[in-house]
Amino acid sequence: MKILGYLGLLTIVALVIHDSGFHFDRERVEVKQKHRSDQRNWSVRYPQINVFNHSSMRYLKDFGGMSELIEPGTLVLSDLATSYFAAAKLPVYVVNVHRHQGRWQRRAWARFLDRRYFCYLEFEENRIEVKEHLRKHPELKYVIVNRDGVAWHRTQDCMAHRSRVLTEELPKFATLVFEGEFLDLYEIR
Amino acid sequence: MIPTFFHLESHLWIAYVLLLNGYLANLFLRRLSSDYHQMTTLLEAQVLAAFFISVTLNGLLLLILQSLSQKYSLASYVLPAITLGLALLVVRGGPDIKRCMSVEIDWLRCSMYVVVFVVLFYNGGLIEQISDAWWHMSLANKIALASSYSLETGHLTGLPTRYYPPLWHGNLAMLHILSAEPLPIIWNSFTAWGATFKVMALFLFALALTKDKFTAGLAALFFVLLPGIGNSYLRVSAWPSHIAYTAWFVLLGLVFRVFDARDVNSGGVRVLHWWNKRSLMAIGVALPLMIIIYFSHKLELLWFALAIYFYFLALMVRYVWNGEVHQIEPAYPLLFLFGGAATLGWVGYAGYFFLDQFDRASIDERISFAFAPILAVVFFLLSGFRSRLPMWAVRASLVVLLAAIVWTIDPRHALSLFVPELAYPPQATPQSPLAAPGLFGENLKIPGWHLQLREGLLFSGSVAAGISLIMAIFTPNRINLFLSANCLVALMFCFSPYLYHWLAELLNYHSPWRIAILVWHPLIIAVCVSQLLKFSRGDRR
Repeated sequence: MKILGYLGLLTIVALVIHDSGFHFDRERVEVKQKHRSDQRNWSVRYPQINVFNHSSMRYLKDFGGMSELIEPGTLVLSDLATSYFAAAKLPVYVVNVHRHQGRWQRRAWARFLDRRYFCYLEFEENRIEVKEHLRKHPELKYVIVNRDGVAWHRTQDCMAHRSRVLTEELPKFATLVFEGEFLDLYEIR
Repeated sequence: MIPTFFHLESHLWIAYVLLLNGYLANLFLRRLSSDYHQMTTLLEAQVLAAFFISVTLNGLLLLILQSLSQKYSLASYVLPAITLGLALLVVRGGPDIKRCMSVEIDWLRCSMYVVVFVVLFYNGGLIEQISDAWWHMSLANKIALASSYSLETGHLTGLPTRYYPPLWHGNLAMLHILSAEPLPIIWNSFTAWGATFKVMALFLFALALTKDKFTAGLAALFFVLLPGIGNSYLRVSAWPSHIAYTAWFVLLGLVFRVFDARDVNSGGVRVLHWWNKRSLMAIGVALPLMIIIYFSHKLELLWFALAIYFYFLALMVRYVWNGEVHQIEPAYPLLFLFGGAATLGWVGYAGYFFLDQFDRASIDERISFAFAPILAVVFFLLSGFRSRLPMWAVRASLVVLLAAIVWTIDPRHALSLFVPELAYPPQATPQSPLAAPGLFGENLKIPGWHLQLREGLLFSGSVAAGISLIMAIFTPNRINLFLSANCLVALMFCFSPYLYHWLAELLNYHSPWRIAILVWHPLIIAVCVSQLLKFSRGDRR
């Protein structure tokens, strides 16, 4: 009977090792990095630099600079990730948010963002749509352009990975009021 | 280059704002009450008491400042004054202060907490995803800016939004104001503390249930290692839900403390025999914890009630089968009082819900809405008339009832846990339930295993379910019945479209799959290891 007890113990130890091994697996972390998949579980192999690179930490200085210029309580447009980062740091509200967190509260903005006019400003017809929308919705005061090339979260949104076009075209509608290391703040004219 | 001790300053602020005042208040309470003193002997209990008292004090302070139309920044003067006042109260104890500061430390467990803290110190809590964490930080930021819990204009889009319990966000706002550290840094740093607190709370719960420090320590270790719903997800420990989980674990531990607080000299087992200083102290600590949960995430109050209720159901099944309850749970009068009231409440509400939805619901939905209440009524009638019926008829009826529940399991959905290709097609969002056809072809909701369920259940979760059933059948005691009932009933809700659809509609909640948090597989496996070790040493009890 003792043997049965030991066998049971051995089986459970094997089960625990099997199920918890991923916390110690370097390859898993590397594969996740390669595929830009977020690391939700803790891992002894997870390097601290990732937290620094893929969150808003590197932008805090830029946000600090903006906070002195930005009018509190105003509405800001940016890519999805930067919108959330701004909402957590600045005294502003944002329009570009997840669907389950109130994107459709501002219906006109949700439709406008879904049509992606802002991402393809190099086309004249899109610039006309943008101008028309901004005229109808003067509540939008600022646009933040994120020029960072390192963080993954930027790839979630066309406004993020087309920041170069935005930087070139935005001066046609807005004035650059702050130029940071990663973030630029434009005030709509 | 990132320094080794990055954001050290934010950690010092966390220790001050979220621990120091609570620790001093805890010392004062230990001086006042010997029952409280005895309750907080362990390091884990003192740390958690310090944390939850601090969270409550901070929350109250902000509420008072808001009521007086004062800025939250005033807290930077009031908080040190509170610290000073509490320190004076403690020092006034004179030589008694040494007794108040006594603490029982197990260095092995402490090493585990240190490892958890260090790993999470470096892993941090800002996962590479635009997760709901940012929504919470936005809320905390606006609370800090407005010096108010009630944000009329919402916080993210600038338009009114749904109410979210703001206690934890208020504490984050206070940390932000006092330390001038940005919220993402506070969030990231607190993750290490929150993860450690959560593991400590799990230890206290396991200890109250098993009364064995080795088993409880093992449960805490498995909680860190094994994936599941709530456990192992230590990188999200700064979320309000995880603050509520921590309080919930402590709360469950307190329930078993109340169960064990019967005055044994009274010789009776009436509810009044639990009316003594020990149980009142445990209830006195439990009530503020319930308030903390209510104002930080709410949902854990439901899981708390369900955890106790499922245990009550297991005892009732045992009672119907062979009339055996007293030997298993001495506190059965308390449980029966709670279980009886809860049954009347939910069956009544479920009956009303069935009638209310009858015209709108499909035939399968009607079956779903009626199934659980009818089953409950039959089961409790059976338990009531148990002594008047022949034993074979009682047992046969019980088997039929249990078989009816098992029969509602969707075999394709069950198999898809192991073979993902068999899963029902995904819906609009990952959180959306899958559609499983009922008996009459109408769609019923069922949770997708792709949520945190598959990695939690494969394989430790599903193995633990089997182990818990075996342990409950062969060694029916409080530990095994509590763990088994919670594990199996929670899983039944995830496997049966009729039960899951009913739960989702009754609660009007988008993610009732979180009920799987009651699977408690780290505890089941720890108890099993502990029993196997005893068995291997020749102890056959």
